[in-house]
Amino acid sequence: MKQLFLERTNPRNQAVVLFIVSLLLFVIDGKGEALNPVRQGTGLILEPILWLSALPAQLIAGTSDFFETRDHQQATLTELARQVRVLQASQLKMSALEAENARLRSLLGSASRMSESVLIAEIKGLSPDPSTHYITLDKGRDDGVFVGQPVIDAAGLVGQVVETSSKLSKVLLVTDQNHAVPVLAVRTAAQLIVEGRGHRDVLSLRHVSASLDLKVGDLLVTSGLGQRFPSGYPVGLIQSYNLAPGAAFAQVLVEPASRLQTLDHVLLVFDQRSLGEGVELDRLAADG
Amino acid sequence: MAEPLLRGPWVIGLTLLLALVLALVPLPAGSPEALNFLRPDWVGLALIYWAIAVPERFGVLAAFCLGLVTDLVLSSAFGYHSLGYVILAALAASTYQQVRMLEIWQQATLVTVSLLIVVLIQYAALSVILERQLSLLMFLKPLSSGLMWPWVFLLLRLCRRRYL
Repeated sequence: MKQLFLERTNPRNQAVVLFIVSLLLFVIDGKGEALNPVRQGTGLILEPILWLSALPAQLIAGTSDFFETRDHQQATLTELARQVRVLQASQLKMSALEAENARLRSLLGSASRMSESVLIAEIKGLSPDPSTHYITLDKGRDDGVFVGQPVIDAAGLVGQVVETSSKLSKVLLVTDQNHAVPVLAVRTAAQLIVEGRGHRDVLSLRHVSASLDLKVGDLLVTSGLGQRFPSGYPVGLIQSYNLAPGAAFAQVLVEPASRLQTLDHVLLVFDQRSLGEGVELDRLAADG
Repeated sequence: MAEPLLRGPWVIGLTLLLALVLALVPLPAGSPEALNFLRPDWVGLALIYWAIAVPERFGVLAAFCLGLVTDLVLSSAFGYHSLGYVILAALAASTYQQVRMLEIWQQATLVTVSLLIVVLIQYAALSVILERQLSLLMFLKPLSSGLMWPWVFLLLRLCRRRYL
């Protein structure tokens, strides 16, 4: 019976070692990107868990669809048909303008803007931890989604894809503390960087020098610098501008353009570059 | 009672998987985001139960691995959850004989305190190492978890008696 009391490893020592290992991993993964390939490779384990966790919401949505009245559906259909007509009319003008824009740009000798197409995705999940802001979408590598892909909604930039598995993808929102995006102030063409603050309803501008001409209400759009986001998508409106006397940088808060609080569908943006990488064109609803 | 066909340690894995799913289930659309602060630490609760009920099967190393899987599922930095879970398992390994003797409400208090330690570690890690700005509402999590302990305990005890 002697062996019964012989501990092979003392749990306390083991705990100390594993605590230090955890701490090291946390520093490496929190500060750098060295462990990202590990995350990419483990999508297979994650998928069933994500699928199960999305199940309750799906069931609720399914039953509420089932009980929707015929009148209500009729009303929605009429409204949608009306919107389609309005959008088609503006689209007519749009293509003429686009052609004109391309012609003028070629006259000026600058490269014409790449046209982009989009894929609609449904939001499957939200981050359960309020200190990180991400959403899970129901489209994955099988649909051509790639890491770094920009995500928008009807009103503006939502974020970018940070992880993909074959059927799902994870999108980091612009409001996350780890997210930054290069922008252009439309009125003055000032180049700036918008970063998340960890709140759903506000962003901020990094390194705004006191001499820069910015005011409340200025529209900020993606500048296309950094090669990640296509240029021209609205990011937000300047909400407040604060310059403390003597400070080198002004504190500028920005209201996000996209409706991050009430998202249910978003658009994944494909530009010509990514289309070249084997995405089937027919699956994408061309937008331009 | 008829002997259940499938007895074995798989029940531990299944309950932990269920805890992970519960940790990830999104709130219904339109509910305030702050409700997430009240979400109990389901994985931590399940971990405490198994570490106290079957310490020879669920030790510090298992807690470490569970923490890493939780980090993967919840998209937190690797090590974020295992930091606290390793401590939980070590506490359980040294006190399980006494904890088993306690009343269920005494256990719930103890669970609240130990999960408070976990949140303190996580808060320190995030704010010191990653320099994040955090909400103090984070500290509500141990309270809601402590309130859930009696139900988690009864359910998991039933699972253990039937299937393990």
